[in-house]
Amino acid sequence: MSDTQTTRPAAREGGEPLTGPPRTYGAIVWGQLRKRASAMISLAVIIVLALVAILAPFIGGEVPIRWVQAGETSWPIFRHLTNSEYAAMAGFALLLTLPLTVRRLRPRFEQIGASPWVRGVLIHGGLWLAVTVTLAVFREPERRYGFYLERAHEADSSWFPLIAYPRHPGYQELEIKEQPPSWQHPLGTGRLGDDILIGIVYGARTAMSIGFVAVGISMTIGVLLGALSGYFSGWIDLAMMRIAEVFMLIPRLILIIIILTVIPTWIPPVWAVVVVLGITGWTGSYRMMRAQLLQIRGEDYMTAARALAIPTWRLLVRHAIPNGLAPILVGAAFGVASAVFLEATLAFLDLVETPSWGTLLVDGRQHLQDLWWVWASAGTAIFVTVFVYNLLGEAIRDAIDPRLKV
Amino acid sequence: MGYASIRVGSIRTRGTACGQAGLFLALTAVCMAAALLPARADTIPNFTAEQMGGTLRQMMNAEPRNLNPLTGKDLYERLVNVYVYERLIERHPDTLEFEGRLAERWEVSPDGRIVTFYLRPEARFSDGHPVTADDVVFTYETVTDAKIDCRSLASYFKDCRKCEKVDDRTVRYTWKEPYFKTLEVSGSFSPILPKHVYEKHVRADPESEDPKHFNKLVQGFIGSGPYKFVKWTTGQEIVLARNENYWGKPRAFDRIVYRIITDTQASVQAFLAGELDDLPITPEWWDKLTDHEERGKTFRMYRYATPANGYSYIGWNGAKYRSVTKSDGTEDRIAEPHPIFGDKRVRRAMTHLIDRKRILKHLYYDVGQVATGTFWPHGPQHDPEIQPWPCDRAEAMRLLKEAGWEDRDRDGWLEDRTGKRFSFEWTFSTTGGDTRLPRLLKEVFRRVGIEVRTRFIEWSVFVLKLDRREFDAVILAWGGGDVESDPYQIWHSDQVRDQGHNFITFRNAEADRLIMTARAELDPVKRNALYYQFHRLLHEEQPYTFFIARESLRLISTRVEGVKVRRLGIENQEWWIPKQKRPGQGGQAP
Amino acid sequence: MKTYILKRLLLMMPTLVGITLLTYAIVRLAPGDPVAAMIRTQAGDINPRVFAKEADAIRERLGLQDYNIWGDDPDHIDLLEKVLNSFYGYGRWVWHMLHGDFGESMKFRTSEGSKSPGGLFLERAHITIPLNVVASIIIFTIAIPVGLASARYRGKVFDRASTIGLLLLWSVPAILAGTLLIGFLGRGGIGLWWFPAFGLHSAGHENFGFVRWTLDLLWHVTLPVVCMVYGGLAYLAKLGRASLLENLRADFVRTARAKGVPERRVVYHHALRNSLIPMITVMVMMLPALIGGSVIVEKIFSIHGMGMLVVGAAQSRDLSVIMFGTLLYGTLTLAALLLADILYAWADPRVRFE
Repeated sequence: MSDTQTTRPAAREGGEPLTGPPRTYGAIVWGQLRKRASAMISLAVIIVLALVAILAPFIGGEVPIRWVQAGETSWPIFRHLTNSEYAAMAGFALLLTLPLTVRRLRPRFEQIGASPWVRGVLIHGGLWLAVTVTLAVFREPERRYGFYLERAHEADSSWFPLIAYPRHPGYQELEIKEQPPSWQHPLGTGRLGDDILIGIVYGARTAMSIGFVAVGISMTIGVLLGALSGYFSGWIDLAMMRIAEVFMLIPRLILIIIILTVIPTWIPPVWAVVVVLGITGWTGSYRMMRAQLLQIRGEDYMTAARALAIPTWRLLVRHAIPNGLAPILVGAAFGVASAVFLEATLAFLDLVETPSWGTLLVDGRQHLQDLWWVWASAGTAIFVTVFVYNLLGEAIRDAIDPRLKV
Repeated sequence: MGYASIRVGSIRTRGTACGQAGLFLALTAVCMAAALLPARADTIPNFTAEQMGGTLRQMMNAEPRNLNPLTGKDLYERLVNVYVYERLIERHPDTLEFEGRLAERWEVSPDGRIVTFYLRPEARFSDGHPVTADDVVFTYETVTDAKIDCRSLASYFKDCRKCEKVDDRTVRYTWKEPYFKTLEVSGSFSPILPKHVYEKHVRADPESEDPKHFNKLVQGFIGSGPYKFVKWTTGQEIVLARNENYWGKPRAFDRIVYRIITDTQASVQAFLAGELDDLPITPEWWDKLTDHEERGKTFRMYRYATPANGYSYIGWNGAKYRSVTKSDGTEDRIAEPHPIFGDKRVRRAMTHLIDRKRILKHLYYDVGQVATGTFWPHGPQHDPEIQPWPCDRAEAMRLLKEAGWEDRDRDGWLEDRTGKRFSFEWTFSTTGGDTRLPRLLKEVFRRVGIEVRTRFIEWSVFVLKLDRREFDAVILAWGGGDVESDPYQIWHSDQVRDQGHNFITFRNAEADRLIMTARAELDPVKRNALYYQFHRLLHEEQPYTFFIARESLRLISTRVEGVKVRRLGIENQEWWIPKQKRPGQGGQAP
Repeated sequence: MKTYILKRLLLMMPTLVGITLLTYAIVRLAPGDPVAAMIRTQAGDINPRVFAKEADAIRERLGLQDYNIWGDDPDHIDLLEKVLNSFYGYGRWVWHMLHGDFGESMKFRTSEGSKSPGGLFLERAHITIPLNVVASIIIFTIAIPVGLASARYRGKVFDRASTIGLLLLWSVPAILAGTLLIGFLGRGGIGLWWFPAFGLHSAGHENFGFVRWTLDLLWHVTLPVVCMVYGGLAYLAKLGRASLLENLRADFVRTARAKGVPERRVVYHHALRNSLIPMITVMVMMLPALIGGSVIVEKIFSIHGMGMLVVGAAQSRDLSVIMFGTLLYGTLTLAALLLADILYAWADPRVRFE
């Protein structure tokens, strides 16, 4: 199910028809999608989830956003945010503004005969890389423990995150463990006195990154190999089909369990899972892409293009891949959903220990009656996320159904 | 007693019970067995005909790998074989003195090196053959046979020179050196197997069966105990039935059934629904069920401490190993004092920072007690005067400052004189699953300026790290201790080398001296005085932060009568279920 | 046709070699020492030399021995040596496998005490396959009619409600569903005590008569089967719906309608038949899945099935069991793919073999 996928939400809006004809395939699909309430709602929910994941430190935590003491104003949270958090924020912002850039620069690109979407992605990708590299080189986040919560009375004024509560519990927090939902702790507290809402908010990060990154990796591999395999066919195709079969048949759970034991300890296990999912999950998008290529290879415009000595890669990038992308997005959406399930399964088998929805669910299920708020929150979070992705997958599948155009 | 082992087992496999991030190294599986011995026949009541009969239904949360009494290595195997096998002697569950089981009496020479057992004439295996000296010698030879997969049991006998038959009912063990545990090891460590049944399976004669065939035997063993094996359906149940030929007092139950239930919630529900008579539980469930409305009506709750419960601890590695290439090109590993934990002031400070009382209360619901040393808190070697170090942050910071650790650059983290940050790696095994303790302590240390890098690795890799001593700190538990234990295996500096159990590299000349003197001291009073000294030394040195001496928790149905808590725990063989309370044989199909 | 099948069979070979070699290499090259871990877990204080000997003996028996090829430092085996060793080990495994010997499990035994992976899988197959067959039958009998009906009444309330409803079910994590089912419907739980909380049989089931035994079994499997079924409905219903929709738009249906064939007959006689053809593929592709148990369901309901075997083997890196499972699953899936293609061609004469 997670065999296929997309890189980022905006790419899915690929080929949005902003002005006039001719309508590209992507534009038609987008047009269909926009008509569907379910698709729009699920897209909105996904964006909100992504926002929650990215802005988690502003929602819950112990580091204040603004802190005024002895007349001096500081913004501690910005010093504490890690480089990857900044990178994620930048990436998200660039992703959301991608359609705007494209709209803005479309005339200019079309003049020079370039695809505005490809150029837009390149520009934004470049910007993001620049930001990330700069951060990694020049910035050292502050890691000290500031005791801000304990010192809150010393401050003249302070703005704390919505839930001003430590993310990880210490001795003080132990005293208020296992409390049912209240105004201070809207989703109650867990077995260590940890705030469940904070757990859910940070868990969104794990869930989102597992889905997006794994699916991103597998889609990239699948699309590239599929395009090559379909375009060149012959023995390359035959060999690649065998490789794809190997990856399709390899027992994933076993592989993940073993890889988790293998990885050097500085790699967080969740990322190892993501990578395994990515490099084993590409067969679906590979086969779709290959089929797409086999089909268009023989079409007249390809022959014409060859006669005009237009480079092959250009044809692939401009025609083959965009057209093959939409069906792959269906698998991508389902893939993200199944990755969220998989994470819970791994937690259930005691294989990952990163605080996540899965670990919360497994923790809570042992106490069906006494800790209902724990399993209910985590269960709902998983359920809603999976449902939203499934809904989106279904909607895209319906939207690309060629019969709808009839 | 059966319970202790289930729970310890459950720590290793599920990590919920006591919550040492699931790590558990059996100190010795065999010591565990010793603690699991069934009560001596004398404590078994004379059951009336009314009381006899019925089935005792128990559970396991995982399955034994096999039921071979010698090569079976897990606690589940012992749980079953406690009913099927007997030893020569065992401790009385209340007085803790040795009493005869298969042996009617025994003699120990004044230097403790020669132990002679006189077998009971009436003792019989379940197939009717009498238990003779030949069986005892055969068992000894099998255990010490290098081809038989029970090297851990054999390692206890490595100082035993020989075991010989004097006459049909007399056996004599001869030991190389005086040792206070010779009687215990000779008489209570190994179950006695019938020679006439298993001889052909271990015979080295290539004409007969494969000499290693014994290793492949999994079930169906014949012993002299009150029950005999009936069947084992993997993944479902293990059934034992009364041994009609039993030579001693018959037990009440006709059958004993272990059902295998992998999920904790399911097992508690099965118990509450009346499908089990006895259920070991975790501290959390203990807490949840304390206020259950059915408590006292359909079930009772028991808690008790046995030596087999063991204790959990945080081990601070006292040495850092460095690989050096020697002139001939081979590598050598040199131990240097650990830059952080080589200093006993730092280790003490760490103990002061860990609020064991609070953790015990909140994470383990006050089940157990804060441990202060390596001995069983209710045994003769433990000095009750020694109080655990309190949680005292000021004292900890003072000790750290004395050892050179303080926040020098005002960045919130502690540094040493060279400006190196106080940062260490805490290794956990993922096999346990309970990550609450690492999560809590990581945050606790962060708040005082100590950076903890938690590192979760799989058990098989973890074991290698322990063997190579490549870690800064670990949380582990020793289980299966004994009423009287010998600290040599864990604490003597000899055990640092060659993957011994002193993996935290505790080297202390005084400790070595105490251990060796006490070992050879046969007078219990003098010996225990030495152990008191040793206990105090450990307390001062804090090579471990001793964590929690655990307790066993059990739910027992009110159907069951005759439940007594003794010093060594609860003895299932003393129980019976009155006829009118026995559930109809079979299930409750719709 | 024959050549086609032969060609496909030949192409299966490199794939199978690829899967098994990859799995083998990953298991072997992973750091850590599963044999040592197995012994050390329970061994207590053991003389390291004796321990090393015992471990070596076990490795030798299981074909896990790492040989020192260059012979410089007997305790040090470098990566290249490890790789060569695992190739050798793989060759050995293939050789033994071709002679019908799949090695022995390090961790598991059957009730009879057999350690051969085949025996282990067979024992659990007795539990997993019936369970999966029952679950699959239920999935098919619910999902296909629902899918067909929602195609028939496309866009109507039933269509929308069933699509959304099944999607919702699909999105419920099995861990949660299993826990809630046990907790609220299981005996000893906090709700209705309708079904047993664990296992497949009541105590004393061996004395039951056939009818009672069957009823008892059905009573026990209800919750696990519900847990296995609910998530699978959406996919199949969707497929049935799409398939019927496609056929309803096909020319022959239009022709039939134009001829004045009654709508009922058009749908049930003409369109329905054809739309069941893709189901063949799905059904056949489900065959390999039948041997794979669901770990979650098995663990929650204490069922002694295939899933826990495979996961347990992976966790303790029990090589022979992992390899057997991989080979079994790979072979079955490839065979099912082939079978599906053949059946498809047989059912739909338009399909031809290349």
